[in-house]
Amino acid sequence: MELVPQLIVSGIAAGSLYALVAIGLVLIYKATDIVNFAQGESVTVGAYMGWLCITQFRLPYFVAVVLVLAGSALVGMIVERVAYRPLLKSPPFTVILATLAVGLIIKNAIRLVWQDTPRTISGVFSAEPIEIGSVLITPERLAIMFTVALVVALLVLFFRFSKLGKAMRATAQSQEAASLMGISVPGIFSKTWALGSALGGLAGVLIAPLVGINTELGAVLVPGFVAAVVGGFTSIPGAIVGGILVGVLENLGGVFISSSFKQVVPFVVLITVLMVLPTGLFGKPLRKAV
Amino acid sequence: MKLDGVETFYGAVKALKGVSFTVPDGSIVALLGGNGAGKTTTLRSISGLTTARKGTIEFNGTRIEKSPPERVVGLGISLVPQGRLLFAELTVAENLELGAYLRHDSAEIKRDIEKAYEQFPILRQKRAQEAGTLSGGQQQMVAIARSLMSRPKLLMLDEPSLGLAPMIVAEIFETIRKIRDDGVSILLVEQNANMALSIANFGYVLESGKVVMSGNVAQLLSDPRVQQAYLGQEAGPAAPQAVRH
Ligand SMILES: Nc1ncnc2c1ncn2[C@@H]1O[C@H](COP(=O)(O)OP(=O)(O)OP(=O)(O)O)[C@@H](O)[C@H]1O
Ligand SMILES: [Mg+2]
Repeated sequence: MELVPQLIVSGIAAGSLYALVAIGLVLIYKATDIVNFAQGESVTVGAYMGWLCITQFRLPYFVAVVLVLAGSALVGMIVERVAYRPLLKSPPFTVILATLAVGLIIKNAIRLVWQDTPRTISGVFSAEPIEIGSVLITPERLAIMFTVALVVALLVLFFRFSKLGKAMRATAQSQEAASLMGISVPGIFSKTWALGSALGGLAGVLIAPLVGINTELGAVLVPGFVAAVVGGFTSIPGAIVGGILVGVLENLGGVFISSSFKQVVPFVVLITVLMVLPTGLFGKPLRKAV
Repeated sequence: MKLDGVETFYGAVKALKGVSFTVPDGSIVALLGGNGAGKTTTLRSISGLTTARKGTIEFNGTRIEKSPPERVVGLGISLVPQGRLLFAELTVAENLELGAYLRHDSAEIKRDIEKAYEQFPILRQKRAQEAGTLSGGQQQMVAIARSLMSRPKLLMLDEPSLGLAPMIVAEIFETIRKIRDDGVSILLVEQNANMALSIANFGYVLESGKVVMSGNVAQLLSDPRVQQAYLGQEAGPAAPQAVRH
């Protein structure tokens, strides 16, 4: 086993989850110009819903995943209804604070119900590492990477070919023009928040078997946010590259600098990117409707 | 379509101060006026982008003054907005498809896209290109074609000639005439009054949020006030005059 390739591969596994959180942020930002700070809580909600489905209702993991997607989508729609829609005429900063507030409310509501006791669920794939080439990886991490890749591919197809996907892209470019086509812009907002939040929930139920379930899972918002910034905040491929970059650098920094440095890595990446490449790796000058 | 006493505000600013006029079926009506007269606001009030505070707007017997844009387009009114508002990062073909967003007859939609390419052959060539990369004239063609994809009964165009070369303008106006001949009513906003009146059946002149003159094209063309203010001519000899409001 060689150290650096090993760190890179496990960094990619963590990074693919950051990418999922980041894509959720990017979708909502592109549609509404708002950074959803409740995105971390959709991860937490996803994990807790997974735990409920699997350990309380004894449902199979795959069924749990589907229910989690639906449940966290609903959370996104609620955040949109409570924090975004009533504040349409307020400055973006107000709306962003409102998403933060809703996130805190969700987090503390969960804490009220289930306290701070950590929970666990077991996934379907083994946590016994297997050797591929010179690196060791657990099947459950492989499954996560595969799932994220699949979801991203589905998203690309969705935005490229489906009517709703095209309507979402159109609305992101010009809300007025979209409404002139007959697109209900509030409906698109609601569906976009649902989709973005569902991706967060998926990240939650995927990571839960590995790291356990507690109300601090939402902290994954930080690396997810940095991943989105690295990618330019408006690009799905950018969010993926950003997520993987943050995941890999965290691992390398954690080993070669110090283990406590790991949590600092996203911030270092964030500051570096903002200083060197303010528009991110995939950012382009804003070009909306002509 | 019929507007009666429409008043529209931007905040406290009263942009329309009781606008009334009609667009008879199957005709081209030109809405003329200088900068800031309220032409765009009139079209925005009809299409629901800004809601009229007072007055009524009636289309085929339905009151639409409170309807949101997505409902207005569903009733058969389509707007080619000022500045075109294309989806710049979507392809030409995707822009056209979105024009048919409320329709569900996919075979017919394909046929209509084909028709649009026949009408504007250059768009067929550019169909896979991002709309934002096209020239101004081509973008205007996309905007018109996209609006037609909803199969409107009334097409409203807001300064389609703005910033375009004279040859392109002539082509666009020829297209507008053809659209009318296909049975679509047209409400045409223009600062280029000469061009607009050359294809229109009726005209209204808007000044600071009010209709100040109306008449058929012959009346407007020969009215000395219209000639002076909008056609860049000296007042000619007395002739049939437009109705002064
Ligand atoms: N978004 C807005 N906010 C505030 N006032 C506005 C807004 N849009 C237009 N106005 C004002 O409303 C009045 C009518 O504007 P409108 O755009 O309808 O004129 P127009 O006839 O279309 O002019 P132009 O030929 O320049 O396009 C103007 O006095 C303008 O300053
Ligand atoms: Mg205007």
